[in-house]
Amino acid sequence: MKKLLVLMPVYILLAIPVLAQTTINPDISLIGDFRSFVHNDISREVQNEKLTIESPSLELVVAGNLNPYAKANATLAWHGEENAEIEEAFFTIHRGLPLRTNLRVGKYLLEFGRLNTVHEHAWLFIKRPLPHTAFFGDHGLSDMAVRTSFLLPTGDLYTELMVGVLKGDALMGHHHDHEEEEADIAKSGEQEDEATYAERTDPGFFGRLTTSHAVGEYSELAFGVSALNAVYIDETCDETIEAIKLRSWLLGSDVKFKYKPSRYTALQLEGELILRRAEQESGNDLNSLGGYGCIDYRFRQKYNIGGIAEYVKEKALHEHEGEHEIEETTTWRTGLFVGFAPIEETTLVRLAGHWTEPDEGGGFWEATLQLVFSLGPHQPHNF
Amino acid sequence: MMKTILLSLLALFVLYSYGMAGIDVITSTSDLAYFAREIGGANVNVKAIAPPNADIHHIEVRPSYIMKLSKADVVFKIGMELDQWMDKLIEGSRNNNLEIVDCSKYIQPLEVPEFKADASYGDLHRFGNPHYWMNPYQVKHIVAAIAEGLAKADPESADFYENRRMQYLATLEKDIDALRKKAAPLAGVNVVFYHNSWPYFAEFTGVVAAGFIEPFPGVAPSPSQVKKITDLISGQGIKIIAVEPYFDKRVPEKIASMTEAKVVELRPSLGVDDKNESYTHWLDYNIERLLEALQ
Repeated sequence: MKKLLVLMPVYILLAIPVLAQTTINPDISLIGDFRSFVHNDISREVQNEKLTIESPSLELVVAGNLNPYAKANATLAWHGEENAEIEEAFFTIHRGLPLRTNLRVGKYLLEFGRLNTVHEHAWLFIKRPLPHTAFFGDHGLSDMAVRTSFLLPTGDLYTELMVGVLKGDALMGHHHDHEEEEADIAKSGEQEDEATYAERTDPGFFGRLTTSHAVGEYSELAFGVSALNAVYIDETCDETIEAIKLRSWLLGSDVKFKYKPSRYTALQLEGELILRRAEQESGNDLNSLGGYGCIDYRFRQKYNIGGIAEYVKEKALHEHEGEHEIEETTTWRTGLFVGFAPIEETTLVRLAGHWTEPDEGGGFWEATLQLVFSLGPHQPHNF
Repeated sequence: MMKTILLSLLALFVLYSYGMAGIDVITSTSDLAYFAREIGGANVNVKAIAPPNADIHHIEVRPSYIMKLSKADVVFKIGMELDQWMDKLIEGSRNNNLEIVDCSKYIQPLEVPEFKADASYGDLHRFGNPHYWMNPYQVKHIVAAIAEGLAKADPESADFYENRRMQYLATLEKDIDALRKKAAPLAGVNVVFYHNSWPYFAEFTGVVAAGFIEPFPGVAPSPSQVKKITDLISGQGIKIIAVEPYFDKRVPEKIASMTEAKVVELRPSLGVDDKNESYTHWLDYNIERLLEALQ
């Protein structure tokens, strides 16, 4: 008996690592994204026609079940030389709620369109599409939000409705160009006016309706419409935030078709159209429009090749000699990309070439090489 | 006349309702669907997610699959990390009444790693090789889990499921004897497999996995691996290269062209040609293919 009492704690201590490994520890992933590029855009600070190697981007993802009903997910991201930031931190109650609903709370990439919720390294192509950069910022439409989702009773047709409230930072975007300005303000000791900050966090609302239907044994066709209403602050304007604070709508529609007859081959088409309507005190609302379309063909499982066409026509207020003027810019970009993933998503090499045609002329090309590694548990393949 | 029509309509309605009655079962594979039908009989409506000729490792989480699960009463999955996509589908279905059954819970697993099974070993399954349905001696464990799951979802018919389980195992036992006799010439025969899907089948038939075309599970063959396997086949006089239907045949055929071996297509799941194919017919098909290649 005495021996048993002595050995019992030893057995328990020995068992803890085994149990912890299988039942308690969350999934942890580390994703590295390395890029180098060369371009002939004379308007950029980085010297053109010379190879530039970007600082790597890293994502640390921790995810797991909190209990049988809920799961949590957090992504800590380093984007190049920027400071680390919490890109996502949310939990989802996926089971146990009535009426086939689920609930998500936290900061995350909002369900607007099809691409926004997918992390950049998992895209088919390298560069963020122009309308996404223009309307969502450099790192996507991310915000604190509470949203619920309903699976609608539409027979065999998958139909999901999501509605949510967001904190209201989402439409401010996140552009690298302004971080230096923000840093300068911080250094100079200037403080943002508290009232202005309060106005910035006016809550917004968003919703998404998506439907998906099997087209035969190997294909799936999905459509979606999204809407978001929040305060929009045009950071491209030189004037004060107060002068250009707008209530704004984002409306989007998206489509995706995928045909995957075998584990080696897949054809995918997807596209999004996004309209931004920004209210003005004058009543002359600013309407901006953007979209992209993409085709991708995967063959021999390891290789993919595709093309993308992007467009954005953006209207913004700019100050000129004390007067606010509406400036309209239109940009087109087309690109081709090839990818090689020797062992599924664990390692990936992509090469892309883009031709950009800005409104003011002076089209330029850019070639980008990307290397991605993904360390962590094998995940199921999403549609 | 009107009375007759009304009675006929009522009868049709009753028949239709009866036809729709029973519990809705979703399985990840056609193999589990077959066992669920055998045990559930007329009480169950069974649908499988993965097509019988698909690679179960690579099923995509399609929204249309979620709808199948949203209306189901019971779901049977392979487990052992083979059909992880089922967990995503189950989560997406938001079906709070779903009885989830992992059919691996009573099986005796093979090849459970006794080391830290990380990605340097390829797509290795931490809880052992998950292709357990390929040995008929494991079927008793599978159907035990299935009968239990059906009884939980439909307690009133628990005895019915238990009786059908016993009947099925009695029938299977007779078939196993015949299949063992048929497979006897395969005992000790060296086979090169494309992927390590067949240890349970090998345990039953006695064939020996001499090597794999994949250098590691889930990793496509490299030129050095092709040479290594070609040398192995030539050196040991191996006559059979067994490949699943969803793998690219070019590498196995290239190796076969440089050696005396034949490429044989084996089916890891039943129902490829005939969706009503039985488990023993499927097993017999695979044994037959290997025997043909030996001649």
